[in-house]
Amino acid sequence: MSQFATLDWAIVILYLLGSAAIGIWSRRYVKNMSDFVVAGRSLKSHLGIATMIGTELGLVTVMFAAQKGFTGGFAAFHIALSAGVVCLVVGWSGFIVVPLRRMGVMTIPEFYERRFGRGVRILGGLILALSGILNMGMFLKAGSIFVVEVTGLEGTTIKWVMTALLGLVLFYTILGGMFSIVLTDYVQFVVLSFGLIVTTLFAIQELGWQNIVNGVEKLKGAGGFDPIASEAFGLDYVVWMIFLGLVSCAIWQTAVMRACSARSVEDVKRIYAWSSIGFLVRFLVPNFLGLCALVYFADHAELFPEGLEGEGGSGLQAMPRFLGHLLPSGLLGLVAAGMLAAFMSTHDSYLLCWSSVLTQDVIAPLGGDRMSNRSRLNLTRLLIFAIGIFLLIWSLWYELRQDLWDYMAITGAIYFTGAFALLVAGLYWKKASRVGAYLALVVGLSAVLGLKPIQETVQKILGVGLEWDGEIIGISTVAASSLVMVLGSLAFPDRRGPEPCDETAKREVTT
Amino acid sequence: MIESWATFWGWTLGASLVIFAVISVVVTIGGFRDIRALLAKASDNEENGPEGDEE
Repeated sequence: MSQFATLDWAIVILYLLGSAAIGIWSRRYVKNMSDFVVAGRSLKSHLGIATMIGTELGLVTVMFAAQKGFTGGFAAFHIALSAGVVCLVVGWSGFIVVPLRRMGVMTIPEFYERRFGRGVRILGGLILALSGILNMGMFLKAGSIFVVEVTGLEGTTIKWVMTALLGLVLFYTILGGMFSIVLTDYVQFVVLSFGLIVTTLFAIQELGWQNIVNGVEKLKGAGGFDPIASEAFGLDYVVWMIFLGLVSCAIWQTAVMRACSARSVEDVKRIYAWSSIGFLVRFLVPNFLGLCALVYFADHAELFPEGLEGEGGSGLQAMPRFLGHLLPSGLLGLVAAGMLAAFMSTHDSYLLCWSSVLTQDVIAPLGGDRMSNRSRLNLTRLLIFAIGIFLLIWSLWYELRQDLWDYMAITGAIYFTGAFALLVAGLYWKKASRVGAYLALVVGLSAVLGLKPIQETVQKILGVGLEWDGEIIGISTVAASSLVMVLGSLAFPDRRGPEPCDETAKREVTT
Repeated sequence: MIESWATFWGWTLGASLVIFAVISVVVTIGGFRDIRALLAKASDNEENGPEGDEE
């Protein structure tokens, strides 16, 4: 039975009301599309770091990472290490993000247009938004599992609670845009950072470090520590995670938006270098809490009848249930508020991101860019609401019968496999052409084959029994997209060079 | 072998937590100052008139 009490509810409700108040208050600062989407490009480094970590340290990440710790033990730490090291390298080198900031673009598809033309922007924007919205599809589901396990809410109540939470996020994002996001992200960063640190120390104190190590060794053997030897991971999985580390900080639009919002190139590099520890910790701490849950429930099997193998997605329930039993009232409320903060901070940024991509990169260019600033702002707000309604239906009221982690990686890969080829070739290779870009985007769509229902359909049509792992599909798609980018560019070079909008952009594109 | 891995992951976790705690404190303080500067700039823009179309 969870120890969630009245005090904990009071902390959570107070926090949520505070977030709503910030949303209403920050509306006064939104005057145009630039204010709404990138807060007038005024973010300094400290606030940039807070908001970047606040966004990327989402509840869904915490849940998946904890699940990996529960099923993989300490070996899951390699995911965190890859993410942190790659982000640090991006911060030091400025790879991809610095040229993008210098160009002054607001979205990645905007870069597509400057480098490859309007058609690539529209197609790329559509793929990006569809991939991103589908990728968000399970956020509410993961959030509801967390709330059920921590608070003990059941049945239809949880659906209404999650609906109200989504409504709150929609409310303050529609009103305040990036201004409300950076302010709420800052508060969420503070609450969640200290909440995670305290919870980790509490778990170590309660279970004992040596008991945790011995427990993982007993349950998982050497595979619980060595990712290459682990049955849950292996070499191909480690390679895939290193690539995902690059994607999540330098290619995924929500992270790149922070680079675009930064005040200067120096701030971009500083934000990325310092955020690397956040990218590491966002996996590492939940991994650790997940493996603590594994050790705890091994000794208290009656509290986790679903079994320690984590089959059928039951590993998702382990970490929040563990916290519900471990933490005392008060601290549990703070951690729950922090986790709900993480849930909201990811939602607000993602909603703003995908709606602004649809407005700026698909709908406005299709209309010949004749939309006024005010119309774009209103359209973006309308799209935020529409995406919110879609998420509610898709994630909470609709039963999805597939593994959540595979779903997340593959829906994201639909976009980033093609985007990787376009960004790297577009920024660093003068011969990259429009045809190559179209081909890379279309080939990137084949990542959808990693989804189990799609695989089953293809197998039925072809009459063959194939089992494709998500990491194999992902790595193959990246390689195929990059290859067609090169071959397409060499076979069909552009007749004219790119037409960047200013001299800075021109320098970046051609060097 | 397991002992070496456990030590390595233990140090990784410990060092990350310490660095993250320090960064959290620094960013909390610095972020508060940045928010004040951001809002001051936004208020200034408000008084001098927005650059784009008014909402």
